[in-house]
Amino acid sequence: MSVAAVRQPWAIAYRPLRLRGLLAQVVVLVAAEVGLFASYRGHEASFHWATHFLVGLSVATLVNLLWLVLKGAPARFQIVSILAAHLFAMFPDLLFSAGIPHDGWMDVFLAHISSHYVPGGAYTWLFVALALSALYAIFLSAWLTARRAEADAGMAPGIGLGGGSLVRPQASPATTVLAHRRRGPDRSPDVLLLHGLGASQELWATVATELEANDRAVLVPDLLGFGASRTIGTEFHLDAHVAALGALLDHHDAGPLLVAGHSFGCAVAARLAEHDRARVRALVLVSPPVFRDGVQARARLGERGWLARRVLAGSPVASVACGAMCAVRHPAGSVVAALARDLPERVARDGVQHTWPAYRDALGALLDDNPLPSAIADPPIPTTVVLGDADPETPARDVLDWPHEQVEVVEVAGADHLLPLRHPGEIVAAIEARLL
Amino acid sequence: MRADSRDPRAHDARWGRVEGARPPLPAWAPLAWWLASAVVLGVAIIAIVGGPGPLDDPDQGDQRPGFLIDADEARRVPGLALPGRPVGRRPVFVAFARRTPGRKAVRSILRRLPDGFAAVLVLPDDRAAGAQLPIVADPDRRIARAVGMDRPRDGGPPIGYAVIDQEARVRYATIDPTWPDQGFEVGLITKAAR
Repeated sequence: MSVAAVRQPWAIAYRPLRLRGLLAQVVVLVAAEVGLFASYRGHEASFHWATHFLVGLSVATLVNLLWLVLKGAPARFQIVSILAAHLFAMFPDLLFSAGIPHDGWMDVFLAHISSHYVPGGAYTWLFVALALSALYAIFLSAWLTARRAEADAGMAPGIGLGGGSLVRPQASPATTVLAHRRRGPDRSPDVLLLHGLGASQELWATVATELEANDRAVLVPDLLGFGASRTIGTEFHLDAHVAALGALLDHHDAGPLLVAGHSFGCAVAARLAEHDRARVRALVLVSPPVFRDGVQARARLGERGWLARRVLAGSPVASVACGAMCAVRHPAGSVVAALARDLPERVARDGVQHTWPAYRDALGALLDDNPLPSAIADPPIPTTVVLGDADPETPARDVLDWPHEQVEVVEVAGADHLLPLRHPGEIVAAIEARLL
Repeated sequence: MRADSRDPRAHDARWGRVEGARPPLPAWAPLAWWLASAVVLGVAIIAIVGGPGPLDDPDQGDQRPGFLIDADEARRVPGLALPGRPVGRRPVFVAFARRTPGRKAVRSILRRLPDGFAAVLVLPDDRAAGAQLPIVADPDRRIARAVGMDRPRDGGPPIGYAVIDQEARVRYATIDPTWPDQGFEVGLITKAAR
């Protein structure tokens, strides 16, 4: 199996746009509609055909538009879906042919009764259908433009990206450095802090402030696809994160430095140490997700919440829910901030500042490509692991039950998963101990 | 399977430099497709729908709606005088025309009426003859108004039909210049109103 064969998610996303398939659908649609029209015309009811066809066209277009916005890729069977919606809209007419007169409840079939009473009749529906389909054509055209620009920039096309990234090409991580904040003295960074899933550099704000007070030069990026870096990149596997971090470190002429990661950020840190051992002098892994096998990984990651469980189950509901969140990202951030009162507002708001592919690929990396078990059992460089003994998501026993004799373990009593937020002092102490 | 970054194929795959990375359609295709479809569809709909004809209901939504008026909301016409068939004693099919329809079509309609239904043909004047059902002249449109028949677009006498149930409630009234050819529809509506 070639590498290209296993990494072509766009091949599936592009399938609905193949000309041959589209033309076949057009043939089916036109043939079926000619037959239906002839049937209506035989009953002197041509305008009924027109109304229900146009309502069906409007609804199918709306569904295709929503699919594009929420899934970040065009739907399959876009054209025959018009026929399906039309058949649904005209179903009461089939019942009529079978001897059942119309009734008010038949409005459930795309307003079969009420649609005739719209002012302007079929012409109003013609306007609605053309307006919606124009909107869809504009969105699809912008989506194609963005994906084309990404491919031309040497990236894989961004399939599944929502929000503004739907119609705006992602920046290339080869030419755009990750969004980041520098703290402390203006010299080669001493410490690189990497956040976890559904987070941003804000998670490290207190730790970075304390390190800065200790005269440490600190670099805190938003990982690829997260926080202010969510407009960068189209692929988010660990190697892509490492490549983007490498570009960031090059940008700052960084020499050997300590890398601290939290949760998923530990996996990125471990992979960075694997790839660029000369640049990483030590690792501090805070709440690392060390899963023994896929079953345990699914159980632990499932504890991250409903969305994570849907992602792990491979449910399309997950991408749709995430796409909906992207479409209303700003108000969604306010809602999350209002609900998660135990978190600093900026941390809570940034909880939704990521793309669906970034979240999906991060979880996928922890399932299928997790470097942490080997990084802890056989660390390539000096490593400290900081654990919370009240952490339900990455329980301390996952590390303690795993070979860990070659790493230093710091266990924080009463600490949950959000150690950098709730116990910054212990994290700073662990980092400083490794820097000495 | 994890791609080895030293493998040039892996690099190409990661950065999209493989066949199929560009979308199979140019960006202008959806807009061109829409424009062509909009022209074809617009012309087709205008040609198909047109406007209501002179004999049609000005509001096409009210023409042949296919559903009965709720019994509670239906207008009552107990005093309506129709020849030999007192309204309220049995359901009545009241057809409106401007001239006597063809015998074959009328025979087809009558065959479709459920048992017990009376049928009356309302014409604008009493000069017509030869129909197979009682004829009543309605020169002042008193009957048409009583059963709630709309005026056609040309403002002349209505062509269509009304269905009055045995409680003297008008359950259906529609302009329909093609009613003599709509035997199935008339049969279905009268059967539902019985």
